[in-house]
Formats: sequence, structure tokens, C-alpha cells
Amino acid sequence: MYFQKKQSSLFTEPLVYTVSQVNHYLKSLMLKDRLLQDVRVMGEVSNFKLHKPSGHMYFTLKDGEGVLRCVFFRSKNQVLQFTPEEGMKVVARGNISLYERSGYCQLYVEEMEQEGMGALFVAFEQLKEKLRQEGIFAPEKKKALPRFPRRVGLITSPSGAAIRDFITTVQRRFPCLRILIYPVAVQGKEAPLQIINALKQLDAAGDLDVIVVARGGGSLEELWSFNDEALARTIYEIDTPVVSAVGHETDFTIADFAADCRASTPTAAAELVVPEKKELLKLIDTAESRLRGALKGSLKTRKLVLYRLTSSTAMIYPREKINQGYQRVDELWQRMARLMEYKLKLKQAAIKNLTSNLEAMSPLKVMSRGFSFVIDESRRLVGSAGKLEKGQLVKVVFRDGNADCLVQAVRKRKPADILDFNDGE
Amino acid sequence: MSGEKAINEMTFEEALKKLEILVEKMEKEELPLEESLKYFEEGMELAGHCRKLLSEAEYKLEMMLKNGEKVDFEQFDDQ
Repeated sequence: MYFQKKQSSLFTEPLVYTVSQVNHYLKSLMLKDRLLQDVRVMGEVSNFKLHKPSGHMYFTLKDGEGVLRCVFFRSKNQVLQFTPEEGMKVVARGNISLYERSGYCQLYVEEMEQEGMGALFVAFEQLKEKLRQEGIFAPEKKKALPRFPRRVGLITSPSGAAIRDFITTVQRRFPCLRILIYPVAVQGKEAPLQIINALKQLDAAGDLDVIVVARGGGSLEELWSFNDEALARTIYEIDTPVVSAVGHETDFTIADFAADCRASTPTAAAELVVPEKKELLKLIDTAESRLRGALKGSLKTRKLVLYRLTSSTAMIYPREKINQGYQRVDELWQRMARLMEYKLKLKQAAIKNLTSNLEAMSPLKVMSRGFSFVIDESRRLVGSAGKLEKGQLVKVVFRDGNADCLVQAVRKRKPADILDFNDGE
Repeated sequence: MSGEKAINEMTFEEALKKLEILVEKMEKEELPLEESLKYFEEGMELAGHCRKLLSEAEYKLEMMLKNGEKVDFEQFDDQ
């Protein structure tokens, strides 16, 4: 009885799906739908939970009638400019998909901002463009930072993190300069004006090498005073170079664009503005050692040149030079000797020749043929009978001796009658 | 080289710049011995001057008040 009319059981129907198949299919439908991808959703934040270790944010967006679950992973929410709170009106951009495990659809948030922020962004971009057109940000107008500042101006809040970071960094790197702090409000309505006055006053003082305008991190609203137009113009107009160090690495304010140099954080500003003392000392040391090296180098090359000269054979072996000299002398000597010999021979030959001639003409030769000759008292040869006088004493020389003779008579004769001794005139 | 300021009147930047030029000269150019000795001496003097300036410069922390008056600022000195 109890058994009812046999129904066709759902199980037996041909197509029966599992839960995960259904969810999987729903998810694929959503992913295919262009409208649900990269969509912007406006709503009020509620049930906001920041999951501690992972850093992921889980919350729902709601408006009067409905609720949309959202997840904002850490990798994406890190750059969030603000911390979401209950009831906060926001606009979230992301992709809608199904969270299969729990079966509900969810907005995977990529980016989120507070509602009404849009207006601020627009104002920011417009001011930036306007000032850019005027050339307030012109790179060529940017003044160079001094390499070794003596006096640094610092415009910041006296109680913020910025002042501490900046000063401690300067003390660490280069504790040999003077810092002049000009305390100002760094947020709120009066901040821009205070900063402007500070800039003008410090610039007027004229003895600062560089002025740093610094502020720690903060929300868009908190940093808003640094997007002030008049502030940007003042930064541009004053003579002292200005370094802006406002907010976090990713925050860019109009002041940053107008400044001569932008540092991402106050600490970075200190590192930018102030050299490291030990680096400078190292710089000086290296310069000195390069000087020494250069001098040593040039002396060395000169010594080398000198060494090469002194070690040339001529210097090392003067003896050898001298020997060469000796040899040279010998050679010359021999040549001379030969010449002399030759000359001598010539001379000897000449002399022999002469002597033979002489001998040929020599009276002795004549005498050897029996002739003799007559010389007077002063041993002068009497060559002519005419020189003789009667009674004159003369000497006659024979080949084998000589004799004293008295001239008894002198007779002049022609060669033919030379032997005619008759006195008959 | 002696035309310019005497070394002890030079600012840190001037002295360091001059030193860099001298080193460049000593290393690059073929200098007569006397000149390289002169440059060397001058370079050493410049280096000494730079070190002196660094050691003498004192660290001072002041605050400017609205009326332009300057007072010492010790808030962080005790840290």
C-alpha cells in the first residue's frame, strides 16, 4: 500500500548534473559576459573584514535593495589610498565571477576609490595641465641641486615622521652642515599658505643652498594642500632650489612637479640633497692616491729612460770604447808606418840617386883619376887661375894627401893651351 | 695655476674640482718633471684643505620662528 505510484526518478533521467558542474557552468557564463568583466560598481561598504595574515579584504557593497560580496586581494589593495570603513561610499572596479565553493557570485576588486574622489582627480589633472602649459614644470627651468650644501632649509611639520627621518638621515650621512627648520602645518586649509610663507621667508634669507619641503605619507585629502596652485608658483619662482618629498613613493602632488627635484620620501630627500661624508673622504683619498700613482708613474718612466741611456754599450763598457780607440790608433799607426816606410824608401832612393850623382860629380872621383884641387888660406876652392897671385900660399889636395904650395907664376890660358907653361907673353 | 684663489680660501667645491682637474692632468698629459712635481704638491695641498673643511664644518640644527628669529632645535638631539 505504502508504495506509491512509480514516479520517474530524477536520477534515472539521462541528464543529471553534479553541483560543481552547475557552478562551473554558471561561472563560465559569467566570465563570458563582457558586462560583468572590468565593471565599476558603486555602493556602501559593510561587513568589512581585513584578513590578518593574508592581508586580503572581504566586504560587501550594498545599496538600498541588494548586496554584492566583494574580495580585494592584498596584491591589489596595497595601493589603496584610504582604509575602507563601514558605511563608506565607494566605487569599486573589478570582475564578477562565481565563488564555486560557496556558490555565491562575487566582485573580485582590482581598484577602489572613495565616491566623490573622482571630482578631486579631475581638478588635479586640470591644474596640472594648466601649470604644465605655463611651463611651470619645464625641465630646463629646474635648478640643479648643489653638490655640497652648507645650509639646508626644511619646511615640514615639527612633529611628523618626515622631520625625524630627514634629520636622522642627514646626521648619518653628512653631519657637517646647518639645517634650518621652518615648522608648518602640512594638511588642512591653512597649510598651503604657511608653506608658501615659509618658502618666501627662507628664500629671502638667501643663505640657504637648498630648501626641502617634506611630508610623510597620507591620504589624498591629507596630501591635498600640496596640490595648491599658488604653492606651485611659489616653488617655481623662488631662487633657492626646492626638493619636494611628499607622501609615499607612489604619491605625486603638483608640488612634486613644480619642484626642482622630487624625492620619493623624506629619507630619500636627505640622501639626494646631502652627500655621504665617508664617500667624500674616499673621493679625496682616491684623488690623492691617483696623484701619487701618476707622479710615481712619471718618475718611473723617466728612470727607465735614464736606465736605458746609461745601460747603452757605450756607457757600460767604456773600456771597450777605449779599446776601439786603441784599435783605431793602431790601424792608423800601421797605415802611417807603411806610408812612412814608403816615403822613406822614396827618400832613400832619391838620396841614393843624389849621392850617386854627387859621387859622379864628386871631386874625389875626379881625383881618383889622378886629379887634385887647390884651396886658399880660407879653404875656399880656387877654381880659376885668375884668382891666384904670385907669392900666394895655397894648399893642393891629392886623393891621398895635401901639400902647402907657393905661387911662383900665374898664366891665363884658353882651354886649348892650358898646358902651355911658357912665360913668353 | 696660481692665478686663482689661494687654496685656503677656496670653498670645498672649488678645491675638489681643482683637485679633480689636477689628477686628470697628471694622468693624461706628458708633463715636464718640474711641472708634475708642482701639480703633485698642489694636489696634496688641495686634498688636505678639503679634509680640513669637512672636519671643521659643524652640524647645527635651528628653527626659524614666524618673526624670522632663529632658535636652536633640539627635539631630536636627545634621541
